[in-house]
Amino acid sequence: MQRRTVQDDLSDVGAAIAWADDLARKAGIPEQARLDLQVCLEEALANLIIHGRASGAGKNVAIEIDATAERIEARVFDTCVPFDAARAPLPSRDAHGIGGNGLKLLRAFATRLAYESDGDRNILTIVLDAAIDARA
Amino acid sequence: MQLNIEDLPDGVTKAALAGRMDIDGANSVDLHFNVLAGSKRALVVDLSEVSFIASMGLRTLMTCARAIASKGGKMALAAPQENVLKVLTTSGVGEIVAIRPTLTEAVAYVAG
Repeated sequence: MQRRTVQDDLSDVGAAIAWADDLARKAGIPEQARLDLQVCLEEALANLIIHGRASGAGKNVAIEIDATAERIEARVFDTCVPFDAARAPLPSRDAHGIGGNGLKLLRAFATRLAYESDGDRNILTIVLDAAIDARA
Repeated sequence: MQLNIEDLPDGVTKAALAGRMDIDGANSVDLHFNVLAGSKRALVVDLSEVSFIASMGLRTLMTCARAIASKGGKMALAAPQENVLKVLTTSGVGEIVAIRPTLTEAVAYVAG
């Protein structure tokens, strides 16, 4: 289990994803599953940074990665106003048919999503199974 | 992210992207796509060298496609890699902009 703080700045998302990908690669996760993880993390982190409403304590975004050759579990922590990315209604596209893709991609690319909140701290758990046939 | 713009015959412009169309990548080409959206009526975006895309990159492409379509023009995405195509189809981008498996087919579509 490894943990990394993510700055409240989109410019840190790429580095955070590269960090997670490196851990997954070293654990033996196949490339396709790692690419799916990258999509999930980009959407989850961008959503928090762009749309997350900080509480008085700030956003305090962090990610933890737990990876084996068969499975990646990424936990995204924050102290924003709770938003259940696993179950909230998908936002509608704008008048030009654009937008609303972040949550759709996050839910489609994760094997499983879970969200928990105690009102002060939120945790989005993203699970990806690495088996090729599970990723078809 | 690299972007190479080339004028092809029949008034078609090819924008070839290379690299990751992640948050940073989309940011780096967003202004260029705004210019293309304002000036081109037949645009092919060659995705064959794009290794990754997520929603920020989709937004850049879809905004450009909508702008070109609003002027009666056409845009197509060409030759996406497998994982990029997966993102494109999952998000429903194909409802807004044409996706073609080869550059030749994409050029034919926007030129037609």
